[in-house]
Amino acid sequence: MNALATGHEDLIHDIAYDHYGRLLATCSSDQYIKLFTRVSPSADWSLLSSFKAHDANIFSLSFALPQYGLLLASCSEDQTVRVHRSIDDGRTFVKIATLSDSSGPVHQVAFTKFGGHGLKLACIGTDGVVRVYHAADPTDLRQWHLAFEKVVDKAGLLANGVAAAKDLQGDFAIDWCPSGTVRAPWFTSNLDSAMDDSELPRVDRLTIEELAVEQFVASSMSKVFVFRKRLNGGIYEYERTEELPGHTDIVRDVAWASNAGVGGRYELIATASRDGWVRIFKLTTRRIGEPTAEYRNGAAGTVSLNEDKGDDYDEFAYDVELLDQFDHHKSEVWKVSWNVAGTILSSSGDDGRVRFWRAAYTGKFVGVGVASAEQIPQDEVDE
Amino acid sequence: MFSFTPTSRSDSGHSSFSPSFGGPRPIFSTFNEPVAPTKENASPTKAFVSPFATERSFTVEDVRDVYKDDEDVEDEEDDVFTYTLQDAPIAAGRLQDWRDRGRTLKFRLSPLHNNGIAWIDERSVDGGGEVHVAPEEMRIFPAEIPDSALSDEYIKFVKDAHELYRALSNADQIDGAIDPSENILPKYATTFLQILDVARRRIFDERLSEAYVVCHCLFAAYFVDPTITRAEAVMDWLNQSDPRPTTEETSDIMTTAVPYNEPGFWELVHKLALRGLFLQCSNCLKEANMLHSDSESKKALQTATSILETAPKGTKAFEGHRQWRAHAIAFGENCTKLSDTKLRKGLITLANILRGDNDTILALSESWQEVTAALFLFHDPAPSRLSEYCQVAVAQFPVDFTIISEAGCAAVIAGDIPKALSVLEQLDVCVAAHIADFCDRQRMLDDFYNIETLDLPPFRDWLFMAHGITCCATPGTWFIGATYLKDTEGTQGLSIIKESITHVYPDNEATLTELLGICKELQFDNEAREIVIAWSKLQLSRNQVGSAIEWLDSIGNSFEIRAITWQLLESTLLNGLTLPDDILQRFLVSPRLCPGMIRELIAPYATYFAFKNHLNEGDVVEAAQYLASLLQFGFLPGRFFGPLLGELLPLLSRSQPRTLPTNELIAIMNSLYQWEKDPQKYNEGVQFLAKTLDAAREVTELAGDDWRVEYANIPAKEVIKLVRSKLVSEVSRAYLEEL
Repeated sequence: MNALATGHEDLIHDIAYDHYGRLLATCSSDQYIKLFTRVSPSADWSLLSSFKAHDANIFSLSFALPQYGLLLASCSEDQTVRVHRSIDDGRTFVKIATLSDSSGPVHQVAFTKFGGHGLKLACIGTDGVVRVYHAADPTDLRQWHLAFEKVVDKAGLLANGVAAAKDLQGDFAIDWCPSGTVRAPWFTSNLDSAMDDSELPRVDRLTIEELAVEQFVASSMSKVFVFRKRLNGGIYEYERTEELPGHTDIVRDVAWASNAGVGGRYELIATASRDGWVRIFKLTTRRIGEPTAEYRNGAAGTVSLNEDKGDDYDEFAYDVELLDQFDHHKSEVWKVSWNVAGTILSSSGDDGRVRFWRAAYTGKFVGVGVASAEQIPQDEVDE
Repeated sequence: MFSFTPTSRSDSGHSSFSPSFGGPRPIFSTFNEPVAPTKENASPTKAFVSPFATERSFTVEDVRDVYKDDEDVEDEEDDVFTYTLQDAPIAAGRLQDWRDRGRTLKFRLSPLHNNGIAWIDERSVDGGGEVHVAPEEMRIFPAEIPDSALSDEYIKFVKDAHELYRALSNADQIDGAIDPSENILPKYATTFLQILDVARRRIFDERLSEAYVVCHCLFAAYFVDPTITRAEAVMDWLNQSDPRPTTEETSDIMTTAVPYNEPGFWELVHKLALRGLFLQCSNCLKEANMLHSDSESKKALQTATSILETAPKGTKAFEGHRQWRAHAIAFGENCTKLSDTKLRKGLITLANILRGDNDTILALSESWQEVTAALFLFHDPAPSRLSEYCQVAVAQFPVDFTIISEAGCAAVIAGDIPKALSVLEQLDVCVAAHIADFCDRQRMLDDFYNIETLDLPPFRDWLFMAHGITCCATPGTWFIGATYLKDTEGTQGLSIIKESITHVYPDNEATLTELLGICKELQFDNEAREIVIAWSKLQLSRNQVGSAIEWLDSIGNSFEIRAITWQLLESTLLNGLTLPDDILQRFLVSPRLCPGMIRELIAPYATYFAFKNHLNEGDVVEAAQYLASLLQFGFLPGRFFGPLLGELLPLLSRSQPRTLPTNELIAIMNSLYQWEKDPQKYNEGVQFLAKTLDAAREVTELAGDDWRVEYANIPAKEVIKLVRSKLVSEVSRAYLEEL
């Protein structure tokens, strides 16, 4: 597949696929968004539409799930998040909402990826605040209300004194958990430690409501946290929960993997950092107040076998461990991205290489290949 | 399978395990270690016990060893397959310059497929403003995950293999019920090998060819056709994978006037014998033009050809071998009496080969495969001795582990099936998965599944998942991938289907129906709902509103149908009435033929549609009745009230007969009063009315019956006042007329 001239008149800052991978949106400092459609069977991309979406650099794009129609969110240096809708399969877009709560450029925007989470939109920018907007009425997508806002790492921002800086592209990142996650305590409440694997409840049989734990990962400078929607005093709200530790410099990107590849047994989150490392964290469910969780791993999925059964469905937390880390880029890493099953991770950065990592038989990750953006020297081509 | 531009880091070819090996990293284990057993890795309690007993056993530790190796090589730059992006934007050797320009590379994977898009960005938005942006920096660069892009030719192989797998699964169940003793696997193994053979010839892929060699070896050793012995099958594998002597070598000697006088004659005869090519060997002796006049020599030659031609084959080979070998031994002893030295030496060596003499076979062989196959064929074809022969062979001819297929075959012959599978996985996941399935059906992997592997999926399942994911991520083979994933134990396979099924683009109703069929089979109710809702949105974007409503009705989604109804009404009030599609037309015109939920939910729009139709037909009284009932509808969203009042204006004209009775007029006035009383509804209504008037002013031509033709330039609130005024007049007119 050949490179495609997008028609942008400045650098491209982000691309986004629609849910099917059949549409591709690009955004640029030229303030335009361009939409391309995949042409079968050549699999090349063809320009479908182009529109001026902001009044400054556009940094990030995200498509909503297709059950909400063709919705595209963008965020910009102009401090706004905008939601655009197409009712003709991408040929034209109309701006339907402008969200302007941020006090600085907005650097990343992301729609929820799991059907059970409703139509929500998270964003983060140079003010270090993560905001979640909710379209409570999917039939009226012009109405979005700010459901949550919180400084991800106030201490870090203050310590670094960079909150007002303008050129902090990639200093903040956000990504939703794409999979349904079991609300562990009640899921495990009827388990017997003597149960055979075949008797264990099947994660894939749970309903959307049973799996709908809303959570996302957000980074601010060198700190990375999981935020989870929890029942707090009878009200659901997002809370900062686990930290993914160990980053020694600014985290450029975070990506939450689908847990399908591990049968819902645990979660994987990848980070890309300025310290040159790609890190993969493994988050395994445990009950709050149970510091040493016991797990049983089996073919039917890993479930906690704690005998202590709580009434609060939302009371669970993760044991976080660093599963793997790679410094093959030998330079700053800027982007990490997962495949649909959470079994392949890509990373890219200042070395001009895209590196691919695959889950091996034991669940650890191994390098499977490199795509280089650097041409081959002519003498090697001749050879 | 995968097109790439070779680089200096990947030009060592696909067939070796050199540090810059160009294929995927081993996932099960690494193979830069000899097959020969060691104390460290031998663990009889965990090992698969092959019919060919071996001291080498594969354990879960071998799997974990991968990571030791991985850590060891982590510092080795690019110890993996490396390729260059098409139209790579960074000039060779100018990476540092590129970085100095503040550039970085970003990449995002496709949500479903095995590829993604790379692009160049700047490290600091403000810092890049002064740097000129080159044209290549405004491009996007498609990139594939190495070793995952399937060519059309390869997809054909995947589909053929899948069909065979389905047939085997069906037959295995049926035959299992009828006659468990009958092994159907060799028949299917032979067919699989044929499919693989056709594919590798068609695709010209070196790794697929190597996979074929390993696969052939494994089938020869474990899935042998009952009409031949394993020893024959192993020899057949050797003769196919490494044919010796070549046709040229044979013809160079046998086309001379007196082949017997050629220096390489006996070498040829012995090689043919060593390779079990008895008929050819016998023919060489017959056509050698030996000019021996003595009866002893003639008799010896006749005996030699007779022994060669009566070599036991097929089903009789095993039981007849001992007697035949005795003949060969006796023949060798008799040959010692021959006076012709050259003939004596040649025939004794031949006899030694046929009786399976270790030293002779080792001396005449060129590889461990040849030694193993010859000893297996001639010495004792008991399956349990194969690994023993292999050990004898590799002691003299070490396995070249840099050749992947050789490493795989060595593992097969040594009975190390998990290792053989891991070699195959490295060569081709599809082949490895199917071979693992054959092995699993023959219960060859049972002993690997133990307490140590409890947290790991079975080999066969893991390979099926890897292959299934690749299929699911390849356009056109998602359903094949789902079949494999379904057939794995536990939740992983099903979870992957569940996760990926909504990502499959339903480009037509057939695909949609197939997807919903899988959802139904696997009880993925939520995914089915998501797929249908997404499909209905697609149908809406294609103006297939009726179809969208029908599908939503199929999942009982009243919420979305109601939303569509209001969208239709909104769009019509804004842009005028458009011709509905056939299905929607049916719903609107014949509501009694609609499903109950659709009839109820689209009623507001159907009422408006009827109003406009009657108006078009000039039946204003009937039209007014429909409009009046819509205005009195208690659940009408406030925003529609304003424009619908506007629609009323032409019907309240004094220049035409009265269209509404007094009670209807008063009811409308009451609705108007209620609407105005609710500030939110009123504001929404006035705003939308203003929008419809704006829209009317922007279009060059409105439909003749559009009320806005006359009132487009009047402000929205004035329109409402006008309606109120006209309603009062009309009530008074009615009052007067009804006196």
